[in-house]
Amino acid sequence: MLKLRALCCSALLLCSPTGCFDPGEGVEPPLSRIYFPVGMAVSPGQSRLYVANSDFDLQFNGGSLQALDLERLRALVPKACSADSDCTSEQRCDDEPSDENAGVPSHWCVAAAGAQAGKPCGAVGEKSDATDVLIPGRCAFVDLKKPPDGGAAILLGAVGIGAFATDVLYRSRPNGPGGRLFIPVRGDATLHYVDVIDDSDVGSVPFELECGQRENGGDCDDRHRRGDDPDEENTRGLRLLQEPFGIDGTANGDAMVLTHQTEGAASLFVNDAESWGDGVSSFGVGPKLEFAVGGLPQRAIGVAALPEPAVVAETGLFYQPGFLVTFRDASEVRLIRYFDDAASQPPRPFIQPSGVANITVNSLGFDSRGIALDASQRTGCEASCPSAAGTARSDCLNQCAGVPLRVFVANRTPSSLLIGHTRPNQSATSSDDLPQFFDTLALPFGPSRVVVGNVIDVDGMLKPRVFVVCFDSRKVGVYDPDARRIEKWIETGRGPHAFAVDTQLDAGGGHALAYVGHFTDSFVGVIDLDQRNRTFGSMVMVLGRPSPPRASK
Amino acid sequence: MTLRPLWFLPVALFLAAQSACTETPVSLPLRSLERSGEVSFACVSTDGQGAHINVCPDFDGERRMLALVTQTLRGEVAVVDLSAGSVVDYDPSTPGFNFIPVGENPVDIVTTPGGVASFVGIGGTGRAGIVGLPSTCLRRPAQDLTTWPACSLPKAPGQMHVLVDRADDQGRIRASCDTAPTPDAATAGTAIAASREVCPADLALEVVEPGRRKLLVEIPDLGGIAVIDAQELLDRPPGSFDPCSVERFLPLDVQLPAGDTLQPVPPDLQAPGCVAPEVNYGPPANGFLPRPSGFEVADDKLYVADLAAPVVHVIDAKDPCTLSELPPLLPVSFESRNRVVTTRKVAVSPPTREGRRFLYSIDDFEGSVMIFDVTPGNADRTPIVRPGSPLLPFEPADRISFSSPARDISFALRDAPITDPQTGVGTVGTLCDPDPELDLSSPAAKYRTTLDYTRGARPRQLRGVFGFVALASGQIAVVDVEDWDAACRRPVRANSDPAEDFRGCAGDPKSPESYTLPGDDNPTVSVEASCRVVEAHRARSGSFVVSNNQLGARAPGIRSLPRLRAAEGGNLPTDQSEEGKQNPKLLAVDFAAPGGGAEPAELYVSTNLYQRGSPNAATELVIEPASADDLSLSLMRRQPRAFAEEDVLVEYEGLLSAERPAGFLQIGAPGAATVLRDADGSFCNRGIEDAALAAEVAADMGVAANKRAAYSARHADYVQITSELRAEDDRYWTDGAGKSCGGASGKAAFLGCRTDFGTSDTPSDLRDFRVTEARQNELTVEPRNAKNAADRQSVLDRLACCFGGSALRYRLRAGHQWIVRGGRSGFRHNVVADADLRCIRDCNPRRSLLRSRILEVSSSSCKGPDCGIGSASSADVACVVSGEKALAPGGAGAECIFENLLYRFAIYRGTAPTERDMAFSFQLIGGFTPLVANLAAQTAAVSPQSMTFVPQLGQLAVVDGAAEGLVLVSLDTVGISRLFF
Repeated sequence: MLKLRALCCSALLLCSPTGCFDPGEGVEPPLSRIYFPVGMAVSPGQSRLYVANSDFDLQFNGGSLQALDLERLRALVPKACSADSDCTSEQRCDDEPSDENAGVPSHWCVAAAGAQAGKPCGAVGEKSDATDVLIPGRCAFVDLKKPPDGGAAILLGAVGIGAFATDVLYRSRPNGPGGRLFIPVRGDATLHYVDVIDDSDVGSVPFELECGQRENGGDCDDRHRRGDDPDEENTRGLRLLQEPFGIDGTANGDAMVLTHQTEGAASLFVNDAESWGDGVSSFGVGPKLEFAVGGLPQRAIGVAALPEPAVVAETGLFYQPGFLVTFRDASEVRLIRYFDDAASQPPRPFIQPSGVANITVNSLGFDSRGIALDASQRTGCEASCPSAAGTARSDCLNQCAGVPLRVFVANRTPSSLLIGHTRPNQSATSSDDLPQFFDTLALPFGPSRVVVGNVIDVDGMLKPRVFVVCFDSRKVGVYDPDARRIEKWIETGRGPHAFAVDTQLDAGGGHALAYVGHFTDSFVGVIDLDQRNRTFGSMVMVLGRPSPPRASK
Repeated sequence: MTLRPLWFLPVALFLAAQSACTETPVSLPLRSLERSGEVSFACVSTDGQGAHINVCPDFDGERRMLALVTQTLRGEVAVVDLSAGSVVDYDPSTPGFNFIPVGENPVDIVTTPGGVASFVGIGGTGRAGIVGLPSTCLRRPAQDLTTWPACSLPKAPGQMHVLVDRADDQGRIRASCDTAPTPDAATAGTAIAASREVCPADLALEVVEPGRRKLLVEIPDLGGIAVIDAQELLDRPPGSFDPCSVERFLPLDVQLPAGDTLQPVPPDLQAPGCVAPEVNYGPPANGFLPRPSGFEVADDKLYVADLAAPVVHVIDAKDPCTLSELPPLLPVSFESRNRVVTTRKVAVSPPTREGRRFLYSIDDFEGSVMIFDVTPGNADRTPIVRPGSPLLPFEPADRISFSSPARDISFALRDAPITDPQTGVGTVGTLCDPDPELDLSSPAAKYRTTLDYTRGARPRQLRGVFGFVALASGQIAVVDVEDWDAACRRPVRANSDPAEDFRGCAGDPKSPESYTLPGDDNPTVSVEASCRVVEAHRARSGSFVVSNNQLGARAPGIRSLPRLRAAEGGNLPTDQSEEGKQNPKLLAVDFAAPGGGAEPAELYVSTNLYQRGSPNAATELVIEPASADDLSLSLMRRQPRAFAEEDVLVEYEGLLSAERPAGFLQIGAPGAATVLRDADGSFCNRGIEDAALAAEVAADMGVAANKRAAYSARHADYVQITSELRAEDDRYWTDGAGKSCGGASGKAAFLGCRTDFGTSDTPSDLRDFRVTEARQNELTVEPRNAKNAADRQSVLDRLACCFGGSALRYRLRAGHQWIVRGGRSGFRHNVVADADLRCIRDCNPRRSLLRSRILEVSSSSCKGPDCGIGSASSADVACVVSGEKALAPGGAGAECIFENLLYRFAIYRGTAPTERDMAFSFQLIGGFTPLVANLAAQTAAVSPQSMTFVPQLGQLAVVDGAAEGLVLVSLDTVGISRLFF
């Protein structure tokens, strides 16, 4: 572990001043391999999982972005059961100790006959005891290209990207088919973008991933790396600052804010109609770097976009989108507003700090990492408003705009989950949107990321949960915001960081899974988030061959 | 000479070299406790038998006092042997510390009063239940999970409590809630677990508080409280996890009482037409689902906080088998009346000397603490609105708020009785008495503060009833509930008038006039600066509010006399020299005496008390503008908690807030309103005064009706545009809207605009726009220096083309008046937004003392360079006096004496015009330092989870979820006494 830390520190030292990635030479990354995953995103229709890999140990000349087939993946996840009737006619429920299950029933549906009869892991096979310490879960890993059932590959496509990607963000094209992934890349200090399908859209685009890779040896071409062309992108002569890290954007993707982990700054990318294209005849020029705001506390890390109240769009209210930003070197959260500058000629969009919320719920309170917002109470309120347009609806929506958002921040001094809410608004347009933290929850060491999602509870209902990923202590806490307690500690492998939730209820009972990108051992763990199952909160599948970093081999 | 002594030189050199090369080893403490949650205390004999908690700690070594601490991450219970002072490792042969495994997510732990067994609530998903830990097995060797009797619950438990189903008059008890009392049930050895070979547990052995032990268990997800027989649980087969036998389940009721909810308001917060004697919250809304979140038992009543419903449940708990709900307490918020107030954690105080009890509960939304009076017979069910709140406008009137949210609360009753020499008895609860006529040998006199401030009534002497609040930041704050020494913590001067003096004293007995001993003038009180040093239900002072050479500058004061700063920087003279007379003067004004007349102005400067009329010339406060060489002011010491150490500026046309980065100016058609919009402007919150509010001020000051419009035009606030023009070579001047600005293009257009508007460093007055109407997110403005409509339109057109439609940087400034702005407290005001977001004056008395605007006083009669007060101009319609005498209470121009929460002074104009950004500056020191025990003093990795007062130790036990594990806080020193991690 120490060697790994030394490697990480060395790499950071080497890279931080100027960015050290030269995409020209070196060994091409194996695109089908999960390698230091740092970001994951689930498509809106929940048919794709996108994984951004970072090539953190510089073994290759870049990282990669993969598109995984979630329907295939879910079909391979063991099905939980409590009786044979929960399984198909070819299966039975493994609920009794047997030779096949080594005396430990899995409570999964297993083959009733044949070579894999009674074996909980089927063709995948059980993990060796030797790997048990580092890789939780019962079964061996699943190959992305050759799943154990002999069916189609889980990996649908992959492209090469720059080294040291940090995250991935998905946005649907607002006025056309398809969607787009945005990936901050530290190596060459750019924002990569990749056009993808929009699986919630019937007529989508005719490719899985598109970033000019066909003409560029599988790697995204220069046109899809933005922030490095001041002449084309903006009127301010701007180039993206070093070490972009966090990213979030408005719901329609017209404004995106990136943090810079070695500076007191945040950058603004704008996606206008020219950026997007129509998704049919044109795929646009990509996001444009428009502005960088400095003067922030040093080492900006997490960023979260404030969801726009529904009343704004419906009644055309004066409103500036906001972003909350966390810092490693300051015990505060900053509110940054986006101004489209539309009234100016020519318009030059910008972002400005608009407020500061101090963190007083911890003894020190600096070193904040991830931040997440939960708008479910507000959207629930908005959904309950009359559907017919009119005064009643706009009044109702206006009231709902005042429903506070829940705010969660992973903080390390001491390790804790900060719990707060935005202040109740006086009106939809007159709001400071600043969080007020009122509670803190002690965590094990190294919280790094917070994600809001749903689980399926014992009654088969979707229930909101906050997932806080603790990188150093190999745990993910499942926090119930209503009961105000951690209800489950998920044991993970080494270096959990990227996290995505994939939950849906349907006639068949639905599914509730989470995907944990393990940075250190380069695999994705699949977690059961269905409280009806005995395996709730445990790793039920290992995706990709785990491989320890070179320095620790 | 001999060489023999040199033999040791090589040795010494070798040793020196060795020591130079040897690093001092760094000793890192090994931390054994991990993510601790809750604690319970058990008194256990050396052979593992439980003993009543009151017989511990035992200094004979026969019994040990154990602290059982839940480890939330590991699903274990750690045992801390307080007698041995160590954390118990249950398996020393295994590396690391090994504790008692109990199951996933331990939520709470309780111990029976007799120490026979403890019970842990566990909340693992699908594995919720209660685990019994017989004390007989709290010793080594380690036991595994199958050792413990346990039962499962359908949902995770919350807080637990052990209640005794008392024996009847004949000593009989009920074996269960559904059986009749029998002598057998009280007989030791009859229970199944009593005769178990491994880990026996017989609760019948607990003879103190005889009766059947019942576990009260909150089930938050089910919204109720379960009653479980403790012995029945212990009797279950070890390792079993069958469903618990819930003898009774009380579903909590949120049917709120019919009728309006009324909250009484103290007289000083009432205002006709604004704040009624009772705040009416209307009939309470129903439809809430209960979620219990902490409870406490007092006077046979169970008080239950609720995280989901706006009630604190009150349950008759005299008989645990027949729990019944009584009318609940109703948490509301005086400040935010539409908010649904929910709670977490409650604590009930011990009875005060008058038999009053108070319940503190944490407001979940903001982490503040509400106070309820739960004295038997008290009918009020809402939080107490405390008197004196206008003097603390930043603390909610009906809540105690802290710098960090509260995590837990507890109470303690303490005393250190002094023996009466006549009776030989030391009586708990004797009040300190400052009456100079009292016999000095009586205990009430012996509690007085000694002259050297080391003994007697003092901040860290906790005699009485006190609340303790564990803050999320790792501090334990102390709250005065009933301080038995309070009468001796005050100034020497008495005030028998019912009206308060500037020290906050009122209603003292007619005699004595001064709390000093007749013979030697030694004080019988602490000589503190205010009568509000000790106040019920407010934070306790951590130091004497006294300024002297012995204790330093602790009373509210200033570090040195104020100075005047020029607009462009540098100090200006303010003495009686010719140059000094040109400049304005900030001077103290006498206080209004409660019975009429005046009390001399006074001020602490560092540790020296300056007074008007002082016989000592060095500390005389000269307040006459015609003779004062030094600037000065007075401080209102009514409420020391209102003071914070900070740098203060009194600035002419000063900034109401920091520069705003982006406002959008919408210039209407000719004649239409021009509006500056800024969604984050929060203009009312920044205290903007538009023309209408300025006119209100004029009326309040007695300005004639026909002059109010002029007053309003002169003194309304204004916006100063601070944006720079676009750069000279910007495309805006050639391709954008600036290409035809002023009939010119390119560089000529730029230069024309720069000539008109200047730069942000040297702005022209065309950048100033008067606020005619203010709303929370927009200001209607007009050019401030335009003479007529045509001029105004011309300025607006010019602005539009020079700056384009882009966002503008701007500042908000006060119009022709001085404003007070604190480095930390900012600009204090009482402007709020109404329902339509229009900025109006808050009529609530709570904010009546938030004033920060000062009109300078000018003279109508004094002309020429020798005037003590500068002459008035035709534009001055207020604060114009005749002559050059200082303002005095009740005298001419008294309405121009500035008095707010903290300060009292007047500003006199100099013979030269006052310039924008001139500023008086001073540094505020002393005041109030709250008493806290700082857990973060040892390590910053602190996150308090729970706190309980342990009367047997006289200490607070704080469980830290981060690095410190279990912390014991001594109430003798109000500091950490022991740490176990």
